[in-house]
Amino acid sequence: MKPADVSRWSAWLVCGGLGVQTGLLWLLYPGDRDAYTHAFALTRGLGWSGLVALCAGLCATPLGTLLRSRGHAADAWTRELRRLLGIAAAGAALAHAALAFCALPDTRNAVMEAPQLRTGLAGLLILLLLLITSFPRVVRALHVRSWKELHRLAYVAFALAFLHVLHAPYVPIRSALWLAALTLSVGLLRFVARQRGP
Amino acid sequence: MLLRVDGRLLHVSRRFGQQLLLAALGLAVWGAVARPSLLALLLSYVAVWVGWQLPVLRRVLEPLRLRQLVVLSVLLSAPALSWAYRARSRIAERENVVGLAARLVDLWRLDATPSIAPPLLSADRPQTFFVHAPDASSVHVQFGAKARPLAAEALGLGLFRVDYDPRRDGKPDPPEGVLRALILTEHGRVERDMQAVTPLVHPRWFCVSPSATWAATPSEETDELIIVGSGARVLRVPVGDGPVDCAFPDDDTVIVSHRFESALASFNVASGRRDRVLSLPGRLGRMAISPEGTRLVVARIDSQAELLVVSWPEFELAEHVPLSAAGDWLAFGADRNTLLVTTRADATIRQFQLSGEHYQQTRLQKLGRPAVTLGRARDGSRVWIATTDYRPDARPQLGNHFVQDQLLTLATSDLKVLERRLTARRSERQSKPGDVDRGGSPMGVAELRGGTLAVTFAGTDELWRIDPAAADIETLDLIDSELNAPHGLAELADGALVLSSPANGTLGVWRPGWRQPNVLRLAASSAALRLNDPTALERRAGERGFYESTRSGIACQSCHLHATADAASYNLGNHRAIPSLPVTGLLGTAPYLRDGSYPRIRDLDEVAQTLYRGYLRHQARRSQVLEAFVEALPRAQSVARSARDLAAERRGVQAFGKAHCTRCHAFPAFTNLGLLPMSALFPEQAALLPGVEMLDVPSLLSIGQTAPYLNDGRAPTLAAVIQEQNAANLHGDVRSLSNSERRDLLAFLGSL
Repeated sequence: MKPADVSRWSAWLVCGGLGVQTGLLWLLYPGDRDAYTHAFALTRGLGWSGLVALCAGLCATPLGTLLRSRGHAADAWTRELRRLLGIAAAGAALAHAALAFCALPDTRNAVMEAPQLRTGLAGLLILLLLLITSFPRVVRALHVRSWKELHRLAYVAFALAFLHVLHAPYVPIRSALWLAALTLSVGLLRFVARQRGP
Repeated sequence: MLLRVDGRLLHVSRRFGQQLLLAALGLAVWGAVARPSLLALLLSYVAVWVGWQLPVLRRVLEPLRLRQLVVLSVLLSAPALSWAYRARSRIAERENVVGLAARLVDLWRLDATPSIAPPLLSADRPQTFFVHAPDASSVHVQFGAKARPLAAEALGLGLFRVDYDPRRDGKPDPPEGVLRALILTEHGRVERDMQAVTPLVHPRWFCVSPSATWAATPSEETDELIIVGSGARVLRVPVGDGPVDCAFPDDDTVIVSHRFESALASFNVASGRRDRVLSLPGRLGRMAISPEGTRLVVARIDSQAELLVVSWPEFELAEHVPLSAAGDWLAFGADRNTLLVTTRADATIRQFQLSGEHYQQTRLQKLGRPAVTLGRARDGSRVWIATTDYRPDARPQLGNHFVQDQLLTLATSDLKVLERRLTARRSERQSKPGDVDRGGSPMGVAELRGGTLAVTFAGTDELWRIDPAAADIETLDLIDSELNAPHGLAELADGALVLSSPANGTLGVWRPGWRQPNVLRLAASSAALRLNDPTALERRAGERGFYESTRSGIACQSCHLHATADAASYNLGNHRAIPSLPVTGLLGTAPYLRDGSYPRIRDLDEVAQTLYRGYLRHQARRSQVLEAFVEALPRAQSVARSARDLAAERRGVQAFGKAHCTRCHAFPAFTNLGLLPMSALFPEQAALLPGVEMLDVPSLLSIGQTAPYLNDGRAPTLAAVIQEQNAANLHGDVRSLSNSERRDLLAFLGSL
């Protein structure tokens, strides 16, 4: 498969996955025992989707490194997957924030007061910056010479997203901590794989 | 450049150096801006990255070698890191990461089902726990490996309730520290960590026999009555569950009221033998006996407030006297015809007169703040009441955290205030080393022979002897003795003055002419505790700190009366009168205060150190020991088992779920430990306030006993919370409930 095909298929996969998930969240809202309304259920669901996509994006590089250390040629796939998962994370986070701002009026009022909203906003700002600099055309138009230093802020976004989740009033804490532990464990693979690499 | 890590060599690239320099520049900008927020750090980094794109900067930096980049990074970031280190507590506070680890533990504990709440198990009283086991149909709980399993009753929606009585079910094992509770369901057994506490003996206020041969004080924590006789003879008599108060009808008999046993029991003083028991309805509080020794009045302090009049020597319930608020301190006037009762909820003193064979309320005097303690004159013509303010118009004083310790002298005949003596003395003396303040938190009052008034001060660790004729005050300093934070006092027939110190578990006997009281230890000394039970020692130090006055004259005790609440309203800094909260049952319910602004109890010490200008006495780890004491206070008792309506409560649980109350007041702690903007629940109230007010989601455990409700006490009852004060229907979807469901919901809430 050519890199362009990889890119196209991955894009469809991620966008389709996000769309299907949004639809499912809308349909399955009564299963969310804490939710009052569709908007609330959807906001929560989109937030979780963004977090999962961000974690998966952060895991893509270590997994690619691991595969490469075992002799697999996975660079193109993992790089593209990482980019698309990052875009998906930013998109979901943006939708999560937009919905919260529009449908949950108290969010608008309390965004700088509530610690969980402040950390969430900071994480969102990072993801938006990364989103903007994720498209080669935009990067060229902005005369950006090195985007990598900026994209390392993804780790900061990850930390802020978790602070956002941990301070939120309706958090299934075990799921959140398992997700964090899994992401950090896979992240460590990067160093292990590099040590064992050829 | 090579870096040695774990015996291996890592290649550190030049790109790493560039990244390091970028981060260092970001830090440097952040340090220059000096804003203690992570958002500022982030924006600094982004600004530096934008600058990094400029060709000029790259042209300067690109020729640099890795080593040069590292050195430059260190030099650039050092001042910013130094500033960040100094500002770390402000940064942590702003970003709400203080107490994050404890929060995670609390959240995990509640989220990992089956879960149990509250997490505190106290060995001194019956307690009710709630278990959330969504998939289980039956639950048993075992408090320690050797304890017997207790069956929990299912309430619905996966919620179970288990009653534990240490006298019936055995003491917690281990008695102190982490206790592994076993929760057994049909799916298996899981262990959950709880905190076990075994309080030490706490002698408080005394009752004195008619000829003053004996003085006695109950210790509610250890279920015993401590009787002191002439010659410092001490008897420790085991009594029923939760002795609250005592009274001597004659020199040979002492009667004890019990909080958890709903009974009065009479004991022979000489032998300590229990003679007679009288079961009474409800939970019992303090009592008083008429000067003739024929009428005994006990306050009933559960949901049905009333006075229970018992005849003596028949020892029979003679009369129920209704009260609109629970009675607190009781005293007779000159004879059995006059009875005085103070109430805490509405801060009054009421006079009852015997009309025929029945007591009828004849007068009511508003105090504005409830009585902290009450002492009766020997002839019954006057009573002395200690309060933290006096407001006969009952309008709250809107001075910030206003507390003014004082003693009121009231005539028992007409409740007129004869004298008002401000005791707290604060002056410029505070600025000089070695000076101490006086008169903080009067806690015990007694009239001595000859008319001298003796007063103990728990806030400033002293005893005053006030000669009314000479207007002279003799002071005995107890600050460095084992009688600090003194409470009760009584004069015996031989002239000895007996003092009690609940925090230390000690009694003091002070005879005329002695320089210092002789200390009688009822509990282990602090030195012994330091070796054998350091957590109990922490609590002891914390308890003293709880009563200790700050330089402004305010102590924790001032508002959180005897570690509960004084039900009075205070301006807490925003010119609104807000009722004080009880400080019991707080373990595992962070964050604290109504706006959740304090992640740990220990952080509240900041208020004492700044707003109240700190303490005169130095104490190591003051905030930690205070936290240890407060966290070990068990919540107020649930409704007694016999008074429950299980069917209504089960329907109430269904209504609780139907109205989405579980969304925030999640099982089993009835809180999700969250913070919500006020506008999310009470938009109409939020619109009246400037800015955004955050609300802590409080636990509903013991809510039946913590009225008034909501963040500013605007709901006097639970019904008002869910109906009148829920206009937007956002504080629970109560509109979805029928009238009978609402009644069931209230019954369930009241039973918690």
